[in-house]
Amino acid sequence: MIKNLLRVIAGLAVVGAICFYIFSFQVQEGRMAVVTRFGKPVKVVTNAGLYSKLPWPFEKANIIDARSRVFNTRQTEMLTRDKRNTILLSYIVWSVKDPLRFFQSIGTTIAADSKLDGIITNAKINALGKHDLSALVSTNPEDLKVEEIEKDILDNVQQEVSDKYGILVEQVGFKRLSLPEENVKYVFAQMRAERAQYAARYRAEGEREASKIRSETDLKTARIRAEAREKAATIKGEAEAEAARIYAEAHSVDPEFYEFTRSLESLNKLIGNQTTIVLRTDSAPFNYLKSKEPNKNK
Amino acid sequence: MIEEKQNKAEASFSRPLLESLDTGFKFLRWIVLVLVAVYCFSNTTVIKSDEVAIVLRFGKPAGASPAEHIKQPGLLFAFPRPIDNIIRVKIKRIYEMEIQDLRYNAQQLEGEARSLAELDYNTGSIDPEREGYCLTGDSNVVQPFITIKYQITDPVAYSFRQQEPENLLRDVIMASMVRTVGEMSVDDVLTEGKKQLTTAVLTRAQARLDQVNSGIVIQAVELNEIVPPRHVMQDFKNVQNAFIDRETKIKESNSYMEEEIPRAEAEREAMLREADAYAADLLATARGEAGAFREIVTEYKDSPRVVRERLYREAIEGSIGWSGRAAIIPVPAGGKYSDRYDQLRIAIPGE
Repeated sequence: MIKNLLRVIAGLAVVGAICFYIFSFQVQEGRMAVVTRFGKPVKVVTNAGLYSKLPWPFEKANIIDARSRVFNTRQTEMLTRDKRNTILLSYIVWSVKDPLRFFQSIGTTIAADSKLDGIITNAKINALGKHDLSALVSTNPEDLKVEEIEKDILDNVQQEVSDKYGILVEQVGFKRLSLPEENVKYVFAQMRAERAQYAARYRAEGEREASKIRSETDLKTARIRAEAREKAATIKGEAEAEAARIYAEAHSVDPEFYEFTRSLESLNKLIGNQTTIVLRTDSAPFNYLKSKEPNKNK
Repeated sequence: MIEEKQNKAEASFSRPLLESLDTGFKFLRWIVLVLVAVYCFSNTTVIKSDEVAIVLRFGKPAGASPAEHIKQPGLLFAFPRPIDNIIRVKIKRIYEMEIQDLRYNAQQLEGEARSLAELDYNTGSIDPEREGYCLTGDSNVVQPFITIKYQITDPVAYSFRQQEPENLLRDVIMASMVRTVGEMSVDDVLTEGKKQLTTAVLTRAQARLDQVNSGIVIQAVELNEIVPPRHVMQDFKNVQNAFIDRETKIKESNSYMEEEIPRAEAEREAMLREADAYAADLLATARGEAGAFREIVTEYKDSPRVVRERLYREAIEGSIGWSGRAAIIPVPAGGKYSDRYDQLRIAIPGE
């Protein structure tokens, strides 16, 4: 009995599993579904979970990936307001907002990408035509209008796709901004000229700075030396004046005697080793040697 | 259903065959039981320490609140497959992404593409279809090579809000790079502005990621390289050399200054010392001589004649001593010199 009961249960489980598989479908988080009966939509599922449907071929659950998708447009050449050719490669983040409309109008995300490409390119050409190139690249922050242009494109695209395809455009960005090959040549030429100018300026600055420092140095050292000479001369002069004062003070005690000693000194200085001295013997010192009475005169 | 079939079969088959079939079925029953058990626990798993998991029950994250959707590391019990589906997200891991799309990458260009790249080197331009770059605010071309470090911070958003989160990340980084370089000058971008550049790129890219709820947080934007295109590289190097030249020249003249000024100062010191020494010497001599003179004057006042004569004789002796020649003319026979010798007579002063 029990054995049979177990068999029944096992049998029911298998049958249940098969029915479950045939009569239900799962919608994962981030996905949506449109249930079609003989190709005609009958139910739209926007929340994740387990849902029932009639088995194929009566009903079919068409799962739509509602997560955001990143799509890159083709590189398209376009003109700015100031007639400059630019090539913008942009990305767009979009997701399915209205699964039924999306399912009926496009069906698959890949088909949607190619639809979007044309729409974005048009919006891009329109938006860029309203601005100069300086709205995209400029060192002046007031000129830059990248965010506005992106918003402009997003709004345009959104307007076009939201009602028609049930798509929500979440973000637009320029991931590459290039110039046509022909124009890049001129950019390079300009870059070269600018660099040459810089190099020349640095070289000239180097010369100028160096010679400035050198001449300043020379001036400074000359000044130091002149000052030193002047100071030394002052010191020497003052010392000489002081010495003269000292001498004068001493000599003023007996000026006559000073003259005498001074003449003796001069005598010493005048007579060198080339001088011939001629002396009379009756003159000093010989007169004393000759006289019988020394110091007779005294 | 199976029961009925078996009964029908029993009636038409011979007994030994039925017996062996019966044992076979018994054996099969055990296998089925084991298989069922294995199936029941097939989704029970261990969540590793660097990851978390989300259990999708019939496609919906299991758990009452968003916080409960995330299953922390440890043993995880989940129903087998069509019921539960486990998604693992490594939230602790720092992922890295290199962005080569805005640079010239010779390794990536193979065969024909490489020769084409050489060709456009010769034509002196860049075909935007083949090679990316950024335009600076002052219309120069630069080519950055970036590495991004990022982390998944919101596993639910990361798994269920984006189809291709990595492509999104790449694109927002490139857009932020193009945008930020476009507002800077080439000199800033290539030199002092690099830090400012990466910071701005990170801020802008993160804002874009957050706007679409990506669940990704950028940890770092690293600028591996940012260079002018190969066509004009030499010109940039020349500027660098000129800059170095300038620095060298200035350094040289600075060291000239640092040598010359101390030298002049040393000379000044020497000159002043020499002057001081001269002055000191002069004054010492003066004081000495003045002192000596005073002494001799005192002596002279006591006995003028003796001192006078002594001094005079000393002077004469000294003079004769170092003179070249001394001629001594004796007194002629008459005891009187002729007049022409009068001038030779040295009078003793005071005599």
